[in-house]
Amino acid sequence: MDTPRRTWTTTRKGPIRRLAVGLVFAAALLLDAGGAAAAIIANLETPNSKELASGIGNVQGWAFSTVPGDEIEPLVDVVIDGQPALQVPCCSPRGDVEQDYPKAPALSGFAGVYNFQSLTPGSHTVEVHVYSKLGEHKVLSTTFESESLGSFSFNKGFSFDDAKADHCTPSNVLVDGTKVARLACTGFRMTNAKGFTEHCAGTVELTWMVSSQGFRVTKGCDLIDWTMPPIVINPDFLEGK
Amino acid sequence: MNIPRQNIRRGPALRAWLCTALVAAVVCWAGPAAAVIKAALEAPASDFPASGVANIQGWAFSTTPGAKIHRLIQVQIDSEPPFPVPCCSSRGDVSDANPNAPGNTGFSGVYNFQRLSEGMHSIKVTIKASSNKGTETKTITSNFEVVKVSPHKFLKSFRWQDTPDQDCESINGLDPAHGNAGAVCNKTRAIRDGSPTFDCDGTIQFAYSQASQTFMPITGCDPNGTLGGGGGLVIDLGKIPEILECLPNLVSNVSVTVDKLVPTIRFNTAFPAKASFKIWPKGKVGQDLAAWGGGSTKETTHELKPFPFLSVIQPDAEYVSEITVESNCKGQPDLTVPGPSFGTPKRVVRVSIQSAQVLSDGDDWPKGSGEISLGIFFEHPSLTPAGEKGVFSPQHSASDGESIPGISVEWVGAKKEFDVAVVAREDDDGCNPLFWCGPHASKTLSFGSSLTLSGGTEQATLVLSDDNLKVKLNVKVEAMYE
Repeated sequence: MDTPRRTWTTTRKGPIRRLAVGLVFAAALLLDAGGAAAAIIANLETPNSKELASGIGNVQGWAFSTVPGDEIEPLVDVVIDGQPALQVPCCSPRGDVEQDYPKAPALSGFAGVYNFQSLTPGSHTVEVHVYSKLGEHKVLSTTFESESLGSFSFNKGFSFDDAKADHCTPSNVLVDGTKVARLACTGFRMTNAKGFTEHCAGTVELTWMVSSQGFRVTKGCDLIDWTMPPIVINPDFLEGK
Repeated sequence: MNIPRQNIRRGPALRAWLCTALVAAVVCWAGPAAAVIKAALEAPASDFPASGVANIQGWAFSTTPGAKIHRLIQVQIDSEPPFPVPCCSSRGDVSDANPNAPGNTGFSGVYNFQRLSEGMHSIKVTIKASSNKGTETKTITSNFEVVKVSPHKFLKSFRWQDTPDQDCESINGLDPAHGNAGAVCNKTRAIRDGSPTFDCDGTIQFAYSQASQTFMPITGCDPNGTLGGGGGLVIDLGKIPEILECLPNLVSNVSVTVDKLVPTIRFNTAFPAKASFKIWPKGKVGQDLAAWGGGSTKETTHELKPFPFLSVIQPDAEYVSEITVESNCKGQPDLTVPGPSFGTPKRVVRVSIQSAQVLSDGDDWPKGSGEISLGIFFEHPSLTPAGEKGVFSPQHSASDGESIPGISVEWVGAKKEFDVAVVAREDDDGCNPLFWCGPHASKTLSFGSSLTLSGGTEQATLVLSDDNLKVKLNVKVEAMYE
C-alpha cells in the first residue's frame, strides 16, 4: 500500500521539483547574465583622441574579466575605420591595473605594434574587440587623428636636399600648457622600401611628446612635389667605375 | 636452399628498409630540433641607439607543425629580472616573407629606455614553443646602445632653452648605419616635474629612425650638460619623494643587516634612490608589508632603516623578505635582491617602577600610617576582561615624602599589542574605623592603555593621584625580542 502512494507522491512532486530546479537554474542564469553584462573591464590607452598618432606606434590597453574562472581570450581584434587591422596578444603584466582594480589579475595588458603611417592623415576610428573564454564580448572604440611624414607608409631613407645646415628650425610650443620642443624641417626627400622617392618642398613638424619621450610627426609635409631637385650622380658611376 | 636464398635476397632489402627507416627516423627526430623556432629581434637594434619610450619588438614562429609560441616571451636586459612581453600579433610582412609563418607572429612591449644608463647594454629574448612533441626554446641575445637627452628617467618636457643662439644644424648621412639624415641641436632643456632641469649647452644629435619613423636621438649631450640649470636647483621639499623616484641611477652592492630586528639596508647609487623592504609570512607571497626610505647624495653608500621588523611581525611565524632599490618613475625595479628569512623570537616586555615617592599617603591622620602598595599589571581587569596578570610589590608603609622600592615585572610571549596598568593602592587593612579613613585610593594609570610594541624603551614620570593619595613614579617599559 505504501509503495503506490510513494510512487504517486513522487510522480506528483516530480514536475514541481523539476519546475523549482528549472526556476532556480533560470534565475541563476539570469543572475549570471546580469553579472556578465559588466564582466569585462577594459581600457584602450593608445591610440586615443587626445594625442596624434604617427609613425610606428602601439595599439595598447588592458582588459580583464570580473567573472570568477573566466579570462580574456589571447587575441584582441583591432578594427580601424571598419576594417580588421590587426590582432594583438593579451595579456601581459600590468601592475598598475592590478593596483587600481583589486579584482584584476596580474596579466591584463594587450599591445601590438602598428604603423600609423599606413593610414591617410586625418581622423580615424578604432574599435578593439575583447572576448572572454566564457563568451563575453566588449568593444572599446574611440576616434583619433593620424599624421604621416609624407605619403609613403614606410620611409626607408631620409635625406635633406643639399648640404645646407638650415633645413630644420627649432622652436618651443605649448602642448597642454607645457612648453615642449618642436622641429620644423623643410626640403628633404624620402625613399620607401621599393626605392621610390618623394620630395617635400613644404614643411613638416616634429613635436616632442611625453608618451614616447621623443619627437613625433605632428604635421606632415604640406607640399609634396614630384619634381625632384637635381640629383648629383657620382661621375665614377657614369664612367662605369 | 630456398631459405638461405630468400634470406640472402631479403637481407639487403631488409637492411635497406631498416636503414631508410632509421635514417628517416633520425631525420624526423632531428628535424624539429634543427631550426624549429624562427625569430628575430628588431628593436632595440644593434645599429641604432635606443632612447625614450620605445618598443622592444620582434617576431617569432615555430616551423614544427602544431607548435605554438608561448603567449609570453621573456626579455632580460643586462642582469635585471626578466619581464614578459606578449606574443603574437599580426605581422603581415613576416608571413609575406616566410611562407610557413602564421599570420600572428609579432611580439612587442613598451619599454622606457631612459631608465637605463647611457652606453652599451645587453638584451636576451627567450622564446618558447610547445606542441605534443615537447617544448622548444630559442634565445636571441644582442647588444644595443642607450642614448639619453638627459639623466632623467622620465621627462615632463623636453624643449629648447629659448636663447638666441639655439640652433639645429641639418646634416645628411648623420646616421652612419643607414645613411639617413638628421639634425645636431644645442641649447636643450630637459625637465622632470619637481626635479632639477638638465640643460645641454652642447649638442645632441637626432637622426631619422626607420624603426619609429621619426627623429630619435643618436647621441647624448656632448659635452655633458648641467643638472640644475635653468634658474638653479629648486627643490620643492614636498616633492622630494618624486625627485628621489625619478632621477637616474646606478645601484650596486645592495645588502641588508639585521640587528635586534631592525634592518639596515645599504646600497651604492650614482644618484638618490629609494629602497623598499618587503616582508611577508613565509608561503604567503603578496601579503607583504613595505616601507620606504630615501637615499641622499650622489655616489654615496646609503643606509636606510625603513622600519623595525617587530612593528609588523607576529610571534611564532616565519618571514621572508626582499629588498628593492629603484629610482625610476614607472615601477620597474632597478635591483631586487632577496632579504633575510627569519622567524620571530621570544617577545619580552619588562615594565618596572624604578622609583616611587609617596607625595600624599592618603590618610589625613595619623600621618605616616598609610600602607601603600604598587602593582604592575598586564591585562588588568580595568583594561581587558582577561584578568590581572601582574604583581604587586610587598606592601610598604610609606607616608608623605617617603619612597617605595621599585619593582619590575617581566612578561614573555606577549601579543604585539598589550595592556599595561600601573596601580597604586592604599590598603584598607590598617585603617581604624574609629578614625576617619581616606578613600580607597586605588588608581589605574594608563601607560598607553593599549601599547603597541615598537621596540626600545619608553620611560615616563607619572603621578597617580586620587583625592588625597598621590604617588609619583618613574616607570620604564622595555619591549624587545630575545
